[in-house]
Amino acid sequence: MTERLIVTGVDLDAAAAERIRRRAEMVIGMPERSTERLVLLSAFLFAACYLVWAAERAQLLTFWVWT
Amino acid sequence: VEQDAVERLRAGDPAAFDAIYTHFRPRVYGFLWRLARDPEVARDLVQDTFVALARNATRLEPDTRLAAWLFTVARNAWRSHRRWAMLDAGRLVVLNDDLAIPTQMRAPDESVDAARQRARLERAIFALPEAAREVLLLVAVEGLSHEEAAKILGVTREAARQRLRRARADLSRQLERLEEKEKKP
Repeated sequence: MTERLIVTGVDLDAAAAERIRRRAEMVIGMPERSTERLVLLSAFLFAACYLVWAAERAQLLTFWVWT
Repeated sequence: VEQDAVERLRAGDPAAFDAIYTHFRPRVYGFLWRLARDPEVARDLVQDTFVALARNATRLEPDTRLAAWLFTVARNAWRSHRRWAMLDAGRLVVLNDDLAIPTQMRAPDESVDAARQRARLERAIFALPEAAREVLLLVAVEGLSHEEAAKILGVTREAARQRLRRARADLSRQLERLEEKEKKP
């Protein structure tokens, strides 16, 4: 059993506590927007690279590249 | 009770979030206040911690231990803040023994002597190195197990135990030093 240190409780003032509660409640279950954006951007870049690669493989880009 | 709260939180129940916030807010704030030694920084980090809980609410594991989860996020938020704050010398907290302890630290029915002892304890905690302070806050103040503290700190259980032992010894030395200082005229 660990000996506990008894310190006096501290807390935020009521206004700050309420402000934080409201802000947090607004985003329950919502992932970070920045993460969403990063995922979308990565997917877009991946798709673009794949299209270029596929087009090049099908020799559709030969005209662009050699002329 | 905790698992029930986690289940309801996973379902996106705002009432469950409220109950968890009300219960854990003073603990998380106290932890961050004593870690950051700055009430404004602690307030911002409390917000980051509970916003992270809200955002991740529906993705929590059913067996999530809320205290461990919250203190892990709070500690990471503090470490992230500290990295940025190190670039800004203006944010550094200058510590000394006359550090102001907020007035709410003294309970109304507390004797002057008890209040003095408590203030001395707070100053001694504040004066500890950060590694000692965080393990002491998690185990001795918050009552987390050595295993939970070790996970939060990213060290082995034995390392956490050793760190705690050293922290307690450091705390005793700080308390003695402060007591001696108070005795001097």
